[in-house]
Amino acid sequence: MRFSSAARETAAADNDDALMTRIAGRDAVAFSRVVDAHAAMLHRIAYRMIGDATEAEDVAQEALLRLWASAERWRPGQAGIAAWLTRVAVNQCLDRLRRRRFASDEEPPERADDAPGAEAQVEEDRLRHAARAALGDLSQRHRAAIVLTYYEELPNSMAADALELNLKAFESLLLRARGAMRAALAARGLTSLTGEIAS
Amino acid sequence: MSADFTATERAALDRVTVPVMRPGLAADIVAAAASGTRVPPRRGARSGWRAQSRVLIGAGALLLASATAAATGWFGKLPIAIPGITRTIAAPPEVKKPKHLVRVEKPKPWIGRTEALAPIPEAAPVLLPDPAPPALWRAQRQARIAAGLPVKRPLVRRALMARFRAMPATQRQAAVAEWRRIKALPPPERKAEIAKLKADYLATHPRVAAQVERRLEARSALAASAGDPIKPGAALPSGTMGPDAARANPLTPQERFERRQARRQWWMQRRAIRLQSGQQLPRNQPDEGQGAPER
Repeated sequence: MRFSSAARETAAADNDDALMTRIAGRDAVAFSRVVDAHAAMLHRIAYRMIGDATEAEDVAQEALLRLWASAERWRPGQAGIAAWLTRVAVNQCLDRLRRRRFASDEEPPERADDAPGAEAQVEEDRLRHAARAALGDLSQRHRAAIVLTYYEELPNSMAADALELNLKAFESLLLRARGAMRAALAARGLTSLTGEIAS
Repeated sequence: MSADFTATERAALDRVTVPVMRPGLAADIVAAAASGTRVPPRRGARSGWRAQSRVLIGAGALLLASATAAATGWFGKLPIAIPGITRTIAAPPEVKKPKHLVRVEKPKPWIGRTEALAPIPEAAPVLLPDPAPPALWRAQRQARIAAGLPVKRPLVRRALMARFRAMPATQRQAAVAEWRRIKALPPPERKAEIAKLKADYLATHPRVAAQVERRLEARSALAASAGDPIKPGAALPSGTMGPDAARANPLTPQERFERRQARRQWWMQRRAIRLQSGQQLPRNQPDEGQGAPER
């Protein structure tokens, strides 16, 4: 479980409110601890949502800098720093995906490698690319639900909070997202709808 | 969540790996936050029309909305006038189609027949045009008084109203109150009050009293000398004027007819004189100052 990583645990040990109080006092050390604890998670969420490593770094950076800028307005007793950052990052990803409708961010086709033993690598790359494309086939909110619950293993309540939905609505969204994910994997030839490997 | 997918599906999903985060990113973020400067996004601004797409789409939408509003005449319905637009958009005033008229031969006016009329009697006033209206009115009034004709009431009332408006407010209010009091009286008492007012006024204004006297004398003289066809009532004995005059009227129908003809002829002559002197003919306008001012 990625949320139980050492850095995360260190950050979680501290009280979030106390940390935010220190950040509001422009304590760079406290902020660096938060960055170390959450930057990787934000990067993962953003990458899986957007599919672009550079843009994922931008999203993580933007979310953390927002936390620094709005630390003075932090109200004690909120859901926590992780939930706050996740919500900001997911919203940014959704914004960027909406904007992307007007721009083509298709990755350039990968070049064939002539090195020996490359066939297996090519096949693995193909499958990875197909899996990423299947995730990209989902709608933005379905993708966000899968990323938060499957990859980040967030509890439903926290994922619902990040997507600014109530729990019932999120569970309904998640049910539809799972169905869509299965259909997308099958359509990309990664699985069949009966659960068997298609090829 | 993992249990909701089959093993095959999980294997496929797990292929979506995440590349390692840039090593210096965390340090860059902390440094940017501490220095107060934001790290510029590594992806530059989009080029070409994509960067300007929102501006272009917005401008296009505005242009479309403006064109629609102009085409539907919406600008003309605005409560404010937009310079240059409202005037252009506003619908021109409707021009009524001329009615189809059937030309009807009208009887020739009397103006052309003035030459055939009898010579102007001396009693008829000769009015000289005067550019200044009050002086003109005064001259007309004097001429009518000299001729024994009734004073033109609108002129008198106009002069009275002018004087009334020039009065101080308190005096004017007192006059209005007095007039209302008299108006509310029963007719006999009202007449008595008015007569008393007249007598008081003439007692304090000897010039006016002399004028009135002269006028009455001129009228009675004219009536006595020529059997005035203009104001037949003036020539009649005073007993015949009144509510019972119609019953007591000794005139035969023939006499009444002749009298009407004489009156009509006098009016025609008077009209001819006015036309010759270039004066405007009186219209059927409401009598100014007919009643006291309602304030």
